[in-house]
Amino acid sequence: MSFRINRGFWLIVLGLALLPLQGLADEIKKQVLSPELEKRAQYLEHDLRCVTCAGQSLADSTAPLAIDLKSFVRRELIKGQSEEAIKADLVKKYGPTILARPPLSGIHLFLWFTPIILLILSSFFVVFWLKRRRISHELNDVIGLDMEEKQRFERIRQQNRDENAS
Amino acid sequence: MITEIGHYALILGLLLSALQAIFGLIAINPKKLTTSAYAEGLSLAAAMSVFIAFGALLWAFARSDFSVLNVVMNSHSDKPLFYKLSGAWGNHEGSMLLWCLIMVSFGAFVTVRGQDLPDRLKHLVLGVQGFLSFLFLAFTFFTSNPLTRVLPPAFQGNSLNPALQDPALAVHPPMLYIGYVGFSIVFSFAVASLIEGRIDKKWASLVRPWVLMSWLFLTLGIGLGAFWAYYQLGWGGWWAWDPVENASLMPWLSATALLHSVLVMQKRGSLKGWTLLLALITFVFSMLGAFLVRSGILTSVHAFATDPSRGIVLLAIIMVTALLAFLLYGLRGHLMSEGESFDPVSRESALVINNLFISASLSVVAIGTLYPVFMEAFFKQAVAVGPPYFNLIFGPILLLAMAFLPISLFLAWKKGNLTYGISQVIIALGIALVLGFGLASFYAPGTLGFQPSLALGLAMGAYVILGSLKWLWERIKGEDWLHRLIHIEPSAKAMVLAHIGLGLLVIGAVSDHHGRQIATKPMMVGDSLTLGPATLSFKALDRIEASNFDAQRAQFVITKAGNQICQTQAQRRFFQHSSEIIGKVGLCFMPFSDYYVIMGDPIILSDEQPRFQVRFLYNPMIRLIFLGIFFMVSAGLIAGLGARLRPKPTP
Repeated sequence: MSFRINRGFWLIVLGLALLPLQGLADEIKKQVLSPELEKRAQYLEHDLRCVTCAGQSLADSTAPLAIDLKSFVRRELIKGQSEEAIKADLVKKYGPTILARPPLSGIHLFLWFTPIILLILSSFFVVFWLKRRRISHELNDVIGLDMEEKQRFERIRQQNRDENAS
Repeated sequence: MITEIGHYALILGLLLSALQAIFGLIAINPKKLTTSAYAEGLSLAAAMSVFIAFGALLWAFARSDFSVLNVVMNSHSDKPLFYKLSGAWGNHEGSMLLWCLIMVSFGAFVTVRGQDLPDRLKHLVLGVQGFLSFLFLAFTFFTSNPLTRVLPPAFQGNSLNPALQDPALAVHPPMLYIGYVGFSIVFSFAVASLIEGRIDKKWASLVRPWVLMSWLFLTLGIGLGAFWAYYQLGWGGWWAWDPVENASLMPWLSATALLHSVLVMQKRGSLKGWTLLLALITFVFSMLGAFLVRSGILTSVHAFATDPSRGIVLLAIIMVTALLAFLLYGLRGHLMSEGESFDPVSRESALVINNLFISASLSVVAIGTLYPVFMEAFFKQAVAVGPPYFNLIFGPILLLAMAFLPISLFLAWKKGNLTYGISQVIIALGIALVLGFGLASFYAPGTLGFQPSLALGLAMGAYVILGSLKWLWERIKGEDWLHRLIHIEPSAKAMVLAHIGLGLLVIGAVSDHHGRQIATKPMMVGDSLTLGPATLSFKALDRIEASNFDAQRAQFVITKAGNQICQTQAQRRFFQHSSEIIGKVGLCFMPFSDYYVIMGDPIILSDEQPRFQVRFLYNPMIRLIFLGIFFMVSAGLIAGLGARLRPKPTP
């Protein structure tokens, strides 16, 4: 019922594997970059996605397309292209999902700054809450005011504060 | 026949859950507790029914009954029995039934073990749990029935996705589901107490074992998933910030916050409102986790069941549940009294700050994961949010939280002394900073040079570990320290263990992230490849056969300065039934770092000799990640058992 691996199977696998030969040949005679360029290349490869393989960056992937793109990145860097220009080129060719993170501009600022703003706002809230809580508890513990009296006290206190401020 | 019995049991379970919900919720009227007591018996019957249904599914898989559609789609008669059984939950329909089984079983568990629960609370919990079970059983039965027959029966099945035929992944979904669904009980307790309009320390001590248990299984499930991704998927990493991974991380983060706040509530009676809110949110995120995976709304390696229409039904269930719960919270949350007071400098406040950081990191994961969906839906714009985003935003928040952690251990409940706290950890901080920055400048891998984030990550990891150890030492120091170490209370043991686990995890993660080295080369027998100080030699190639696959096996030897340090083998497995090739990674433990070999596709170069594209990786300190997770799981176990064994909460 089940078929065994035979020569035919290997021929198919080999045949399929021959397709990406161009990229592999590039990989084999790998461009040797200056340390500075190599560093930039590696950073850039982490910021670019391998669009054909789910969830991997170019740096992580050995898919044929990733190897092609890696040598493209390196070639462009040697030519003296900037990271931004290379990214723009790739976005034009492969669409914006090739970027592993959206650019820090335009509507995407929402993505970058919302968590930070949330953290700051909630920090303020927590500090305020902790202080207020202590006051209400002091009133409870020491003076023994009930809820209505506490609120009145808070109102008067707030008025005093506002008057002092102005 | 057995399938029909199972099918019938599933319908019965659905009806019994509906009755359980109705009778349980009668307890809203406190005078009707004799009527609502029927929910107890119903919960047992419902659990029995769904158990029979799931048993029938397992039976169908074990016997490879190809008249059941689900078995045809996901099994094959040549598979080992273990993977036949795990195939039962390795697909959408079966996993939903497993979800329901766990849900009704936990309801039954509340009935069986909850003799000391107040009747009204117990019946309300069972009512809410019954409502949830009813929703998910209905979803399973009407949209994802695993027991449907197929006519005519198939001769052979399509087999389980070979990548899933792995011991870690066979137990990964049940672990994860026990975690997710465990929070349904916590959710039910929260809703029940909102209906009752009161909540106290006792509530926290009733709920805490559930929180610990669920957290422990969720941690274990995520850990197994990460470990599986590491050694099975063969890309060298362990966490990709993949949407499905994030979907499990979100309830985990929320649960971790809950774990801390419920502790405050149990010890001091404070933070009631916040704890209730977290209890609701955690289960909503758990359901959202299931929804995100099941709907296929996110493109991902894990989305093996993509069917948008089911996703919409599941989303509707989540929306209804969440809306009802939050509405109830909005209406009745203010009834909860504030509890005992505490100073802004105190253990309570420190745990509030802990919750603040965890919530912030949760918001990062949630925003980053949902952003592409949001952009696609509203702006027709395709974007990807990958690891660089999460590392850049999540990382600093985590490190900041870790910077606060050791000091908070030394703050007393109610009113702490900040100077004392700082004086206790300052030496640990000093050592950690020296270690972190020293190691990071000494260890500047590749051409990238000194990495501040590596230095800070190492430092904060070490700081948390040293600070926790220092705290432990303060607790036990003296003549009979060994005796005291053994007899220290479980919650303290667990706390130290879990925080050391966190430190190890962070050290492992930053070391691996910054220090991973990769070399790639097409190789045939006799070739070798160097990576840093190590050399990989391809020694032999042969073929092996198993019942469900054939494989090519490559033997490798790794040498360092001429000495053999390890021998390993990588495989390419060909699964005939699905015509898929799955790599098997070769691993060398060193003991915390790994050498990692992947045998890629064969290629032919100009000299006509077939070679394999071999990737050779060095993953420094990666085992610390899994060791850290193991520590956390053990901590959860110790604390959970401790919390459960204690008969009455200490006042």
